[in-house]
Amino acid sequence: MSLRSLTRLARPFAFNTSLTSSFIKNASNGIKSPLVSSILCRYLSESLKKSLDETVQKNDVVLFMKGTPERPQCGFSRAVVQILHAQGLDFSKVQTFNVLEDNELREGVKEYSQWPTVPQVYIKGEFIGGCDIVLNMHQSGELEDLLLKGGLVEESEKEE
Amino acid sequence: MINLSILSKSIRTKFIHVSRIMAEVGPVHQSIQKKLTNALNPTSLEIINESHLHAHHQAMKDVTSKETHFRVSIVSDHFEGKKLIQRHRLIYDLLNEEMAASVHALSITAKTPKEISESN
Repeated sequence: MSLRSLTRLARPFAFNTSLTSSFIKNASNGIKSPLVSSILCRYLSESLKKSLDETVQKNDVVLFMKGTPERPQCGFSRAVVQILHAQGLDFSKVQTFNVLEDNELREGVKEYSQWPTVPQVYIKGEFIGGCDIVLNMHQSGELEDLLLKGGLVEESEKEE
Repeated sequence: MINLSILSKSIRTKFIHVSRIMAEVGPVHQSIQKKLTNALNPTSLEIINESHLHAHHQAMKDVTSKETHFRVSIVSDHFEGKKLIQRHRLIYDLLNEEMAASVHALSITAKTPKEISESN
């Protein structure tokens, strides 16, 4: 799969390429157990891996989901979209992919992130996790800290 | 045994439906239970099959398995010193066969006994 076909799948949000230098090592470089690799190494072609590398590096926030932000096709994807909205994140900074439209991407991204489910969230090139983790970080304040640190949301006025 | 004949037909149907869901512990459920128990020696483990809540989703089109969505709440010492993402990866790695075969979603709450006693 070429980057072109990958971006064609993407929502027509603007690419933001100004922050690529802050690329953080992504999850696919993590430790893989041999069994996981043997079961999942069927979908991730070199070209898809390269496209995904570029996509998560070039975009501040990347969300792989079922459906679209306007019409999520799964409650977990919907929850992640709602949390990102609740954080005040400008969705023009979010590159979203509907994995239901592309089976190679749907399976490939699972192997790429070494994470077996969708949705998946990347912030500043770093794999964050799925719905449970995003929700947990939202509740604990970690997500807000991360977004603030990355300059992706503005500090809200603190209530007394 | 409860005498169901005194209930109206619609309530009776619902009752039977709910009791079937509660009674059904499929092979995937059992396998998750066994693997997590063996590997993590949990002080508490609750596995809930929520597949029926997601059966109508578009992503579940053409899927006949009744074991696609689970919620797991687990308390284990093995999570000590591990970040949330590491705990989830640990569980996903243990269950990679199930995840690859039929499970589409696994909602995880993973805590240590210490965290549980602190929150009480």
